[in-house]
Amino acid sequence: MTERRSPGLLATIGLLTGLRFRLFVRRLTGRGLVGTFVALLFALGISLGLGVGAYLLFGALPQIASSPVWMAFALSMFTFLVSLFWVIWPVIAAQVDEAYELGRFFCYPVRPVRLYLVQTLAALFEPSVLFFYPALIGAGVGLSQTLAPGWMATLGLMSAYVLMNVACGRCLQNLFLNLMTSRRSGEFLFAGFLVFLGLAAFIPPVDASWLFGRLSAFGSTPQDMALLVNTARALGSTPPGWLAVGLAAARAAEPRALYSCAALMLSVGGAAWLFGLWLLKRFYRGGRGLRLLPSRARRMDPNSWTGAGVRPSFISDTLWAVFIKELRTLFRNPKARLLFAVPFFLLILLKVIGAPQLFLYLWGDAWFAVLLAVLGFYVLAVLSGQFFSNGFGYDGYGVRQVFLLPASLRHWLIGRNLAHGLLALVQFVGLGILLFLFVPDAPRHGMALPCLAFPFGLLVALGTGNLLSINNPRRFHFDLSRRDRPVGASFAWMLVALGACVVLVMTAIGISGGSLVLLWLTMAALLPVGLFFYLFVLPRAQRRLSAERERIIEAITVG
Amino acid sequence: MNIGRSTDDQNSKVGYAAPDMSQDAIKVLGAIKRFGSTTAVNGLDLEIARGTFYGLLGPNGAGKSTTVGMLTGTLRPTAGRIELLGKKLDPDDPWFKARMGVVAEEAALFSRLRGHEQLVFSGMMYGLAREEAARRALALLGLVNLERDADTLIADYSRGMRKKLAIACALIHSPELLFFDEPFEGVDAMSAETIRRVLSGLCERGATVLLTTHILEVAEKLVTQVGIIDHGKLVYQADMLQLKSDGESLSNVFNRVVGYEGDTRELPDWLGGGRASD
Repeated sequence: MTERRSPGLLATIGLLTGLRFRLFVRRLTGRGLVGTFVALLFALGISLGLGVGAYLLFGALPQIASSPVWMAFALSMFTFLVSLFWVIWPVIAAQVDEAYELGRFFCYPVRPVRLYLVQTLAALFEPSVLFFYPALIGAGVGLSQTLAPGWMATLGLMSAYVLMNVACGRCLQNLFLNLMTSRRSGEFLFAGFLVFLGLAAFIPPVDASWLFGRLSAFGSTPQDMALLVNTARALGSTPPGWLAVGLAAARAAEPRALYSCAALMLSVGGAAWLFGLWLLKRFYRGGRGLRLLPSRARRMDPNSWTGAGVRPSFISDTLWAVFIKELRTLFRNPKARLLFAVPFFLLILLKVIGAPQLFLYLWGDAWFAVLLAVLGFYVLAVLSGQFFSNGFGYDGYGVRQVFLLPASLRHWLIGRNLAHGLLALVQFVGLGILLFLFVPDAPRHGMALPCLAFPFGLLVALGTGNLLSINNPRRFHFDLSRRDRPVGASFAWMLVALGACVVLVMTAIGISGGSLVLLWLTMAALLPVGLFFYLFVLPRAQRRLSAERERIIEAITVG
Repeated sequence: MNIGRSTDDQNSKVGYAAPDMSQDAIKVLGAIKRFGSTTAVNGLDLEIARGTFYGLLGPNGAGKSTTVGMLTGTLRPTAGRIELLGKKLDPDDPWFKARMGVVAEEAALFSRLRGHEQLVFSGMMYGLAREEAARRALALLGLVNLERDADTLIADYSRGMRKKLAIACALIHSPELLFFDEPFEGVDAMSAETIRRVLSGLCERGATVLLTTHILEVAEKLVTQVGIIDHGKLVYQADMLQLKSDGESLSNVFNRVVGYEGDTRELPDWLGGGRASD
């Protein structure tokens, strides 16, 4: 029989890095040659832009180069923002794929602590760093010409900073996995929402009027300078800000402060790493990663709500049954709950940071309407990418029912669309109400724009989604422990469709010529256009659904 | 630094000499597993000797998968003691994992790897040299009738093909302990027969296999010892040869110990009425 061995640390690193690279290349090349090329070009363009931008900010902007106050402010803000995106990236970019699921490796004779260490180290080279490293390198090169903290100090501090960000990102991701896959994820989200809402209600928003009111002349008075100093100090006391403080210490030849900053960042990273490991082990040992939890026994309620009592008479029983089933699926889907909650959190965050003043500065009196329109676009784009354009994706083996049950395919499509549309509409209206509550005295100028453009966009998105669901079916998973990316082609087509809607809306705004009455009329005229598009596409989608059943069943029942 | 093999695993480098057959392969004493207010396993005691082909049976939700989860270290028992191969189980210790092969209910495979690549990766993660892992991978693919799909992405495999590949992954390091949770679900009869032959051969050479199944015929044909678990407790255990020589059928025993006395519920009129067992 075999000699018992387990791979050493370097062998494990080699094996797991090789595996991740192989999976990444397969996913990338799965887009086709043109898609891969365009994606790479796009990513490299952004990456280059960030690098050059950071270099110019710290190396070539005279106002920053010549003023220690501006330098401290810009550097601490830069480190804060980079950290913020770096840490939340693993969550918002849905970066959990099979190679990140440590549960898949638990059967191998490697200690979990080593697996997690290897995974964390591998995160230093994941695709997202393509955006962060250039920014840091650009800043480092720029700073070498102005602040001149010295190469060794810059390299050492930035390494500690990167390790801290990566460890905190993994930790947040594991926290997210634990929360979202919990049976009580809905309650957690709701509780978090209430806490956040409470914070937003009681914490006075950050007063940013000084920045937008006097932007051109800003920095010239002692009060302005004091404000910058205070902001830099406040940011410098946060973990990301320690990089800025450390660089300043290196410039001032204060090794004690420099080493303290590096040690603090490594300590935070280490603590986050250990907490992340604990969370991860808890996640998998709790059985959630392997779905070994026995199903909770529930007494079936024969009188559970079927919606029969509220069914409008013009909707048939089968259509209503599909609609209720789809609504239940969405309601119990952790991804749908998350996507539903995210813009509300975003809105509260905007309120807390005093963003309405920025919007007023940028968009004038119509800011309220424009913000609501932007939120509406976001809602449609995100929901469309996940649900509208892959409507059968979550059905799994249940997709066969679509073709086995005696409901017309038209009913399946409309029933789904009604549920998806209702979810989007409730979300949009909820966002509008929350915005009204937050800023009750905001001007209502141009409200026709979001009120009527959203249903128009919704009809177009649903119609387009019907076709895309049939053209590009792919299995999506119900839970959050497996993170499915939107189907690239579908998402791109959906953006094209929504982009076309934006063009039409802009044209309607142009036609109205500033008259509010005309704006309402032209926007209202878009609604029949949307309805016509939806009804035009529906029978075609129905025919294609019938013709493509074999391909759809095969794609959705895989895995 | 020992680059190829980790120092803390040097203890694991002992060769697989003839196992001490007098020692229990699996010993569970008073194991309890609770999930919140639900008790999935409730004071389980189990002793399985080396070289046994053990079938753990039970109705749905009886605690079979939870038991396997605890034995393989993916679930931590709320209380109780588990010993594997004479040592107290430490789920993080590579010593145990190097000696275990696991096929869980859901196969943990990488869908963007090809079948052959997955097997080689598994072999190397178990410390096999690449050449050896590749050689065994080819042999296993042949055994489970997947050689023609060796270069197909796992994403394109059917459920049965995935199951067969997961079984091959669990066998690649010739483990001493094999845990199979419903291994034959979705596997075609021909491959199932081959797998049965392989598992029986491994048991004859001293390996211990524990499989859970709800298909009584599979257990009846295959295992040397059988245990029935119900409501998280082992309610019956017997030697299969003894059971057969007593003229008992496994199905009768099963129904008796889980208290199944036929379905006496009334059928609704629109299903013909009468009793379900009529």
